[in-house]
Formats: sequence, structure tokens, C-alpha cells
Amino acid sequence: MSTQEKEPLFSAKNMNALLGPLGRNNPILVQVLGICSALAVTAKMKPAFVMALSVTVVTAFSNLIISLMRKGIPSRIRIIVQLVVVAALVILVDQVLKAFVYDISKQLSVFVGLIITNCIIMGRLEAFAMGNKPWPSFLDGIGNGLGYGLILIIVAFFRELLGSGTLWGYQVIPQWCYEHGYANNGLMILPPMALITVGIIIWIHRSRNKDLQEK
Amino acid sequence: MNKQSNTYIVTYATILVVIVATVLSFAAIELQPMQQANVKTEKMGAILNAIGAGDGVAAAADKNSYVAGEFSKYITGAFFVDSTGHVNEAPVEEVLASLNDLPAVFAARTAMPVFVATLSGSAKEYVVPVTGKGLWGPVWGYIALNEDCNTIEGAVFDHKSETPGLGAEIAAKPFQNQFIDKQIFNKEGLFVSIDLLKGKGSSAGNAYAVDAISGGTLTSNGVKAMLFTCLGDYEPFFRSVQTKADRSIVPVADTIATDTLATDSLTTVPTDTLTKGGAK
Amino acid sequence: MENILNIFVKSIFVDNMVFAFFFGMCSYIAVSKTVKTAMGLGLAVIFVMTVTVPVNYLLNKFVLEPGALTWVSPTLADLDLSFLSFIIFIAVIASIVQLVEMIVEKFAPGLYSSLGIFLPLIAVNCAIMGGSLFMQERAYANIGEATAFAFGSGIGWWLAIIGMAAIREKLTYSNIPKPLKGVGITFIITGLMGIAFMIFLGIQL
Repeated sequence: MSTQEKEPLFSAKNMNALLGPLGRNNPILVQVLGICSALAVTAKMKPAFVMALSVTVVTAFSNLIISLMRKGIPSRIRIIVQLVVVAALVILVDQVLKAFVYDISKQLSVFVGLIITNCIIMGRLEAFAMGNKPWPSFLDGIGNGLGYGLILIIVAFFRELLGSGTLWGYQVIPQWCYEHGYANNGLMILPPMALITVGIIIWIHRSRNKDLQEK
Repeated sequence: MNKQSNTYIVTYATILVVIVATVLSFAAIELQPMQQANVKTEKMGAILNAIGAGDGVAAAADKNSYVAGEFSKYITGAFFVDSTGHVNEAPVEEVLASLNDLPAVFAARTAMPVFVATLSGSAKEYVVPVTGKGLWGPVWGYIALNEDCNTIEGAVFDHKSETPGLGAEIAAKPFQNQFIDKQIFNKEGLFVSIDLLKGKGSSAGNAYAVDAISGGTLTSNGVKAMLFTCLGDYEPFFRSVQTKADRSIVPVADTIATDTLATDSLTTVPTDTLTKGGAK
Repeated sequence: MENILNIFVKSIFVDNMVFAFFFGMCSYIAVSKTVKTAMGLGLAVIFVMTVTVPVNYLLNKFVLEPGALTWVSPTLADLDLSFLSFIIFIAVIASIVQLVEMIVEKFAPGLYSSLGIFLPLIAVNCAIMGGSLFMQERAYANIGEATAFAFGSGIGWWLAIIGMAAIREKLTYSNIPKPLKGVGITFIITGLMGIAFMIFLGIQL
């Protein structure tokens, strides 16, 4: 390790690991990883934000830990070791949420536990952390977590705005709109609309990045 | 060292498991008191909401100590009652702890919790928990009853996973405020609980019913069933309080009695609500 | 018995794993291109779900719950191991999947060739983990209810992926806007299917 030449902490390659997933290389939009259950908490922005933060923390630290351990992990029990590390981190996150933001942890309920099976995390561990040094892995984890969180928050933004007329719990649609016949779209709060919203986001993303289009 | 050998794998796995277990147990033990405090604060906060107190919680810097302070200010006693209405005094802490597993409490019906709240002006209220099933999961709540054990002074409900915007509205103020001044015993002194009627405004003038949630019929049915069974379990206790106070149930039609009763126990409710509640 | 039937039907249609909770979306989207593979994965999910949820139910009941260890010694009544449930559940799922894979490979090579390739995929399928977590969250009264829930959820997932695959096979002949092709339209169709499934909302037996 010590013989290798030192890279600056924020070299172009590292920045790419961090920022790539936020835009063009977004894990949900391009790799279609980790849609899973997290969408179920996107009816309101606040839980979506906490979920995004939790996923980012877990992705970043599991990437870091696995990358530190990568030389010693016996390949036969590789997956199990990864699962154990991820599960331990998720339990920690869950415990911290329960202790400090109890109200939100109640809303997230089982979905915190489902971070374990989030394909983004396992996917990044396999694809990046097993073959890279800790620091780039950490950045890659943060980048992917944020890229994922970005989508959650965009979806939550539209669902909360159109479905409840609020943002972050605050009323943003003024009262006179309701008086003139505007009504909240109750359908937006229901689960299927999360999928349709993601579909539309993918549509927009792909019409701007033509090379991602299929066939 | 051969990384593929069984010895290595077993050693590796053992060390990993030990480290993970240590870290997790440490975190769990360290954070447990805070988590339990949160759970307790939530329950105490709900009880306070039922009696219309504890509004400053959003502004309070330390939520837990604020709620605990308010709670000890208003809640002056607590006890268990059994299905015959027999009262067993118990420390407030112990009664609070029984709220952690309400379904079991109502299944056994030997020690159902009751809290006694004393509001400003020495008005006394009883707060009882209720629990049941909504559409997707458990629903629960607290009902604050006037000293006559008949008139509802306040109600709060919460739920685990009802549909947002529909069934979940039971946790919202507009629904809960409907319960204020409704009565659970009818003119003849029969226990009727509170009905949830379909359609907006359908319960107007009815002292024993509120409007159900439009679009949340199944959740509403759950709430209705919950009120009927859980308040019904307390019925012997309510009756014993009513006879002890040597006061028969106040007939709703008797507006004078209702009014005096309502005004001496409650100062904040606007009068039009009162007349609506006692009109018919 | 009536209760069990109710849970079973509800977990297929109303609490559908895919449409109501988005469980197992990764493999749902990746494998729903043809009905044949979708069928294989769907069956594997039903099978693994029905096996793992009852096992985790027993573990939860007799090891993890607060006071669950009283059968070992009454002094353990205060012990609460529920913070370990995530790690235990995932370990049980991963090992059962591994075990099933080995058994199927050894005794039913025919089945293995059609179903086996999906088994490793399933260990990290959120539907399976979600099944166990919901079982714990909803506190089913007995193992019968938990099994009915697991079997029903598995069938619900199978139904969803088969339906999706059938639609996607037909979609090949449709003129879809280019950027929407593939994943985009799959999301939107899943959403529409979810809305269709909402007619079952509130079903009560």
C-alpha cells in the first residue's frame, strides 16, 4: 500500500465517484437498483429525508468497512460477511433513530430494516468496495446514497405538494385556492403514484441523456 | 495463512460475530433508556392531549421533561379497575407501564388502567385508554371523561398504518374534536358508546354519534368497535362512580343540568358546541 | 380458521407485496421480461417465503421478543433481544436459501435447472425480508396465521410478476416513446396495476 503513489483526497476520480451517482449515473434511474421498499415512505418529505439520510449513512459506512476488510474476507462467506456488516449498521441506525427522532422512526417502521436488503448497498459493496481503497469507497457510498436520496426527495416533494398541499409539513397551497375549488389529489398519497412518479422522472432523465435509452 | 481453509473461515466468522455482537449490545444498552423515555413521553403526551393540556410541547426545548412536568401537574392519580368495576389503587408509573401492551390488558380485563386528571378549577376527569383494529393495523386512543363518567371531554386517536389522507385522519384534530361533549350513556341510562355515522353532517344534533371519515369506512368501523368494546369494559366502573357520586345519569334532554355540568367542568369550549351537543 | 383465510386473501390482494409496499422491486423489474422466467422466480419466492417466515416467527417468539427467553429460565424475563432481529432474520433467510439450493440441486436436478438460478437472487430480495419484518410488526397470534400471511404474500408477489411479465411481452409490439422504453414504462404500468388492485381494498371475509 505504502509504495503506491498518493492520490489527492479529492482527485478527479474520487470526485467522480462522489458526484457521478447524483446525476447521470444515478443508481435508481440508470442501474435500476434499490427501488425497493423505500418508496413507501415518500408520501411526506420528512420521513423521505430521514430515510435518504439513513441509506446514505449505511451505504457510506458499509462501503468503508468492507473496503477496509476486503483483503481478509474469505471469498466463500463473502456475501454473509457483507450482510452481517450491513445488518449491524442498519440496527445501529434504527436504534439511533428510535432514541433521537422517535416520531419519524415510527413512520419509517419496518422500512428501516429493509435497508439491509436494499440492492444499492449490496450492489456497491460487490462492485466497488471489494476492489477499491477505503477513501474512494466511502465517497462512492456517499454519492450513491445521496443519488438515491435525491430521487426519494423529488418523489416525496411532488407527492406531498399535490397530495396534501404541504411541504415539509407546512401548508404551501394558500387557503384561497381551496376556496376557489382546488382540491388535494388524494391519489398522490396512495402507493401506486410513487411508481408512476418515478416512471416520469426516468422518462425525463432519459430524454435528456439519449444514450441511456433502451434499444 | 490460507484464506480458503476452513479454520480461517471459522475463526474469521467467530471474530466478526463477537465484534458485531459487542457493538450492537453496547449500542442497544446505551440507547435503551432514551428509547423508553420516548415511548413513555408519547403515551403521556397523548393522555395530556385528551384532557386538552400539553399544547406547548412543540415549543418546548426538552420535550421529555416538558411532558413529564405537565403530566405530573395534571394527572393526580391512577388506578386499575377490573371487569366488575372494582378499583385497585396503583402508582402512576405502574399504570403507565401497563399501556405498553393494551391488547393484552383488555383481553385479561383484570387490571384496566384509569388516570385521574385534575384540571384548573378542581374539575376532575377520568382518562381511559382504548385499543382496537383499523383497516391495516392497530388503532388506539385515549378518552377523557367528565366526572360523571358519561360526557366525553376529549379524545385522541392514533394508528399504526392507516391510509394517509383517509383512515389516518382519525389522528387529526377535526375528527377528534367532534367527540367533545358527546355522551356514552343514553337518556335511559343504557351504555350506547359513540357511533360513527357515514356522511358529513349526519351526526349533527346527535349526542351519541360523530361523523365517520369519508373514504375511511373500515377505519371508522374499527374505531366504532374499539370504542364500544373498550369503553364497554369500563362500564361497571363508570356505573360505580355514578352511583357513588349519588348522581344518576344526567339525561341529555335536561338542558339545564347538562349546561351547568358542562360549564363548571369546562371553560374553553365555545357555547355553540355545547348547545349542539345537548340540543336533542 | 376464518381468520387465517382472511389473512391469506388479504395478503394476496390488499396488502400486496409489490403494489402496496414495493417489496422486491429490483428483481421484479429485472426478471419480468418473459413469463417463463417470471414464473420461476415467482415460485421460488412463494417457496422461500413460506419456509422462512414461520421459522423467523418461532425465533421471534421464543428468542427475540422481550421476555421470550423465560422458557429457558424465569430470570431472563427482562431480557429484550429484539434489537438483534434484523441480523437474525437476514441470517436465517440467507442460510435457508443456501440450504434449499443445495437440497434442490442434490435431489431434484430438474427443478434446480428451472428454479435454482433464482435462489441466490432471493436472499437479498426485500420481499422475503419484508415478510419476516411485517410478521414481527403485526404480531400474528400463532404460527398458522404467520404461515398464511407468508404463503399469501408469496402468491401475491408471484401474481404481480406474472401479470407484469405478460404485459411486457405484449408491450414489445407497442409504440412507446423512446425515453420511456424499458424501465420507465414498467414503473408506470406497475403503478397502474397497483391502482387496479386497489379495488380489493377493504375486502373482508
